[in-house]
Amino acid sequence: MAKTIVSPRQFFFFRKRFVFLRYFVSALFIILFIQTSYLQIIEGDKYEKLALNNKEQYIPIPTHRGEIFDRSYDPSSEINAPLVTNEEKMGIYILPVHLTLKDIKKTLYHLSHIMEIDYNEKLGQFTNRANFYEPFLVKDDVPIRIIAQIGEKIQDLPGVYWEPIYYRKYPLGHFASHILGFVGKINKHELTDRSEDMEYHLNSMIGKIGIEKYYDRELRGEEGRLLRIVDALNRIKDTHVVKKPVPGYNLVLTLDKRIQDILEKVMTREKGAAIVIKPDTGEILGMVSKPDFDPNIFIKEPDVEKILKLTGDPDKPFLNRAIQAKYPPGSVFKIVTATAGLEEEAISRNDTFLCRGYFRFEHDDRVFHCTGIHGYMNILTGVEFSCNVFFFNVSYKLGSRKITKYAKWYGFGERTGIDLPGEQPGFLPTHKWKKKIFGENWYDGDTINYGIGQGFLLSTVLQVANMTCGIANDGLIYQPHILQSAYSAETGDLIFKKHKKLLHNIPIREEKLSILRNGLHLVCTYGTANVAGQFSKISMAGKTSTAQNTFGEPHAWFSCYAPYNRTDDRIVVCVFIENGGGGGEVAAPVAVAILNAIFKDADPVSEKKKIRATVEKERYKKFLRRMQDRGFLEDSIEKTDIQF
Amino acid sequence: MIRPEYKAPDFKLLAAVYLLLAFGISMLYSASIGFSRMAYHNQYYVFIQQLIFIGLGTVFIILLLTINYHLFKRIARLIIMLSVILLVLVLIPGIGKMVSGSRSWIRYKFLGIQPSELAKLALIIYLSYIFTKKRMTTQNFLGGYLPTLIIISTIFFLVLLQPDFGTGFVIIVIAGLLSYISGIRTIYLFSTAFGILPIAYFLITRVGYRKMRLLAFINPWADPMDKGYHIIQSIKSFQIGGLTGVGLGKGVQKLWYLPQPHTDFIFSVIGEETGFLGSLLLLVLFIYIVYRAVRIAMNASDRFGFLLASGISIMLSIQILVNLFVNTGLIPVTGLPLPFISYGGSSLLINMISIGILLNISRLARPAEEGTADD
Repeated sequence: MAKTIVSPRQFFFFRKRFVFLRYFVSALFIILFIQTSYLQIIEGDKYEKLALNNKEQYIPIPTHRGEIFDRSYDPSSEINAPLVTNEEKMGIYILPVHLTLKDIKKTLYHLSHIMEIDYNEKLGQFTNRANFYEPFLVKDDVPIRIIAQIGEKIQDLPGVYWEPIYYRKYPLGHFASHILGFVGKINKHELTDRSEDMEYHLNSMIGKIGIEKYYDRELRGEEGRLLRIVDALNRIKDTHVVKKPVPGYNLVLTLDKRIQDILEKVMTREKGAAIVIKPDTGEILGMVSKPDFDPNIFIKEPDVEKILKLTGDPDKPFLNRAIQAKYPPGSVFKIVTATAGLEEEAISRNDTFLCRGYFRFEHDDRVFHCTGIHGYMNILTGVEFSCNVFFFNVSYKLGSRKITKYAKWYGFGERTGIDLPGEQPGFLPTHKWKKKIFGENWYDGDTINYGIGQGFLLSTVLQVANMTCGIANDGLIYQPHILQSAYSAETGDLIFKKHKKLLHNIPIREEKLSILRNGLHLVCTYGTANVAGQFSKISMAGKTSTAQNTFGEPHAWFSCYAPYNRTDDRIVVCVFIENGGGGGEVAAPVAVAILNAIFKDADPVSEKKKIRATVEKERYKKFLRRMQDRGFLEDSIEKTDIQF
Repeated sequence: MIRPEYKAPDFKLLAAVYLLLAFGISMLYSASIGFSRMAYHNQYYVFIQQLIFIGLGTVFIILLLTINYHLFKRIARLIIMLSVILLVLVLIPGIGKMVSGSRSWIRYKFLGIQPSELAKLALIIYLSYIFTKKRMTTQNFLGGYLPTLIIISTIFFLVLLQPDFGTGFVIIVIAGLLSYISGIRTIYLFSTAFGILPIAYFLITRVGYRKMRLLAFINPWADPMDKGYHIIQSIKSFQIGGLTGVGLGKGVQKLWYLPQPHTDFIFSVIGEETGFLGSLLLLVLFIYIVYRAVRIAMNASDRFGFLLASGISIMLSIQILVNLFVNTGLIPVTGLPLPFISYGGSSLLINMISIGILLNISRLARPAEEGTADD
């Protein structure tokens, strides 16, 4: 054989060691045998009786979910009004451990005589639960009087105990519903994602959208556990708190209740979104998306009818239009094209292009229309009147890649990383993408459409607001955020404070930026938002946009910052009305109303109405004047009486 | 090369293992119902998973019955290299998956492995190979012992980094005892042991939870509600069980009281539900399996087979002993699975593969007339 067989003698020098080891292992097994016999035979008998008499029950101790406050929260004061709070109700539970089904039937039967519950229904619920051993909630919102009665009869009610249940409460109803979100019962998917976190179990409530979802772990806290020793008659012998419950953190948001309230009021009955940001920190002072919903319908007994009506609504009230939907930005994107044109030296301050009302490439029949016939346009007037022909020329000179370069610097095409769930990244088209999807090359026509914010480009409302922040804040864009700080609910200590984080530093020189700002200011004084701009009680700079889209009326945009002439306390306001119509006519009046309300305490709703009426009147006058110029009207315009 | 003469494998060992597996899986089902329902909404989840792995293990046993164990001699270096690579990979966040505080899993889609389990067997194969191939390993320090020591420590520290103190302990004991019976000079072993002592002291006292476990072990009743909790609950399970137990599936300790009733503390569940008789059956089966394994080692036809079988015997006994000692409150709490019984695919597969190797060694045993080592 190839392998030599070793004779036992050759093993010998380690054989002794091997035998020794065998004795050693045998000894260990003998010790184990003795210990098992001791525990089970000698001590087993003793414990058997003890175990039968006294039972140990472990009961979870619920904890408060953290409250949510707006930025006016004062940690030293005790009377802060929360945006989200908890409501305490008493619940009656059965702990099924140690009990037979017969015991439980008996208990439920007795309970059905004390409180208003249906015996058969509860028994059915009990037996159909996924986990037999978890505590079973028999009834919530039980008055103290009933609790006292149960306490008296506890001997007939094995396994019964009572404990507070904390329900989430949104005292302001619709207020900031997309941001705050709501909680609901955990689903299977959410549970398996968190299978390693012991704080989540079958009965858990979990944040479903908004801050409640994003900061669920911080808000949740930790459940406690109580050990209760009861005797055979279910009398409580002893209780120990095995683990103290830890309440969740109280969160303070960057939201300003006053500003949010203005946004809520002014946007009522609109479909769209509005955002107010502090550009020098990225703090979101207000953010609304309409239509919205009342989160309270999901709490306690969920109002199924209302929820179904809302989920079936074609206007999608649960969609946060500020971050979760993407739209063509339209002319507000001209800010990006203008920055690229100025910085890449494609145009200078004094270069002009002639606008005849359309644009056409050489050797090509396609015609690209402008919003009007503007004549000779330079960068200032181009922005002021939102002249498409001017920006067609600039985009054509630049090429799409350079526009994309600057769009990325302004934060288009990527998530801002705001602390809310479900943010969309928007979309910046590329040559490769078009080839892949349409099987076509990228044409110059695509480039010039891209330069005016139309075509394949898509962005979120937040991205447009963020771009405006870059203009207002000398090219620095900070990450937008909602959470300001977190406090311990027990001690009131500061746990966490959010610091501002620089997202983009746009490489734009000061003199170029001031040209752009000047142009944006002109928009609000003589340009596309001149009528609304007249009403503004504070100097402002902004850009309108009437974005064409395939779903109907154009989207109305207006994104602005104020004050224009001071650099301190600047805020950015971005208003978006879905399928609203003209940016200057529909969105700008809303933004001006918001600014007047924020800075001068004007009533936002009446302000909006007044401005929109005037805008309509002016438009009508303009229309009449044009008719008159063309000889359709005989009377002079001054004689025509216009009633609104 | 002459075809080796195969004999019949050790059927007694095989029978004992499958008897144990059958007993184990019924107890595992009882112990895991609560956990399966809570984590997977399916009370059979753990049971079915374990059944699948028993099936897979059986395939390995059948394969290994026909694969000459000398193959492992040739691929020993490959196996140890693979094992070290996996142990390094598992430490990289993103590849290694955190499970209850230690990074011990590599998961690729539905496939998950625990490299530290593989490392145990890989080390046994490698040490058997190196101690057979080079006699100087056992007698010369610089040229033989030191390189081997470096490989052992590499694996030991990689496992500690996860951190998995229990498996680290098992690895160091396997390496030490296998070196010991391979005839290594006593002075090497003693000096290594003295070198390890300060490290062990550091590991125990500097890492908070281990120190707490140790203190809790010394006097669990000092803090019965918190740190001494696991020990007390485990001991209590045995006391409740008594002579005949509370009956299959009727135990309550597994519901809220015992930590990890389906893995580390399954013996406590067995003690409670089947009583002393069940515990005794389990103990007898384990002792018999170890006895058969030792017998196979003594009758192995060559030094490699002897060392391999001894190493496997050591691995099985140390895991059984540590787990059962923890369960009965004889040593402090260390998270180690019980071979063939606890839930866990990697551990079960490695143990069944080990049995397959043992059976193959038994098929190539020394002819009986040369005298058996049975005594």
